[in-house]
Amino acid sequence: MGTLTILVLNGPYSSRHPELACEIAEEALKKGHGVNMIFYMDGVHVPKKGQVPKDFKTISEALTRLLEKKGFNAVACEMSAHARGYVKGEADASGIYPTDEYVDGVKIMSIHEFGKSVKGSEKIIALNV
Amino acid sequence: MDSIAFLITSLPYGKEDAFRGVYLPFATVSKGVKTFVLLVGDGVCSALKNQQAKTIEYPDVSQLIQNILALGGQVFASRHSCEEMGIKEDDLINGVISASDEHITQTLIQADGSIVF
Repeated sequence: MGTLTILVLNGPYSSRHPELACEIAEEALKKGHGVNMIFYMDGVHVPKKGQVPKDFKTISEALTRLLEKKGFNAVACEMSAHARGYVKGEADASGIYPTDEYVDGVKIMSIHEFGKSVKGSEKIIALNV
Repeated sequence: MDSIAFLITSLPYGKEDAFRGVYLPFATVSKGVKTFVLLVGDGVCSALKNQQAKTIEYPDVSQLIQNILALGGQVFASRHSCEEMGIKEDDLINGVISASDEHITQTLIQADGSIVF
């Protein structure tokens, strides 16, 4: 089984892309593949805690369910997250930046994680059109 | 994946797309993934020399392209799109290659993955 990288570039609710990304990830995990989900640009809003959309599925809940599954890894781009106010200090020794605004398990890291993920993946899907 | 192509179709300033589109290749080329940046349509403007991004307090997209080239990435600008915009080869950043649509298409086909911005 291989690994799939999913690049999420849109924020929740204004686009269904984050929801579709979670659905694709769930199916890939069911088939035994690993999934690296990378949040970039407005995609870094997806892991925000406390979302309460009245008329849509809460995207952070779908993400939380995925984070409980083996083989799923979620990283938000530090530069994009910093620009949008999610980073709350300097990186630790593992390169993870602190935040108190994300659901547990999503790491804010340098975009070099994307490079590593591409290198270790068989396929990449970018949801941005 | 051993190779990836980034197809940049947006203008360098005004929207975040082109900037983020040329920032990601920096991450892949620095991890040893063979990286191609393909500038087509409005995207060819990212390869213009002498951009003055400081005047709008925006990151300089041309600097990112130079960083990609310095790390061994390849950057192609569509000759056809350049002609449409009145951009000459001399107007392009050193190292950016003016390429035919056929070459750009072939690069996209041969890359293991591709992303459009």
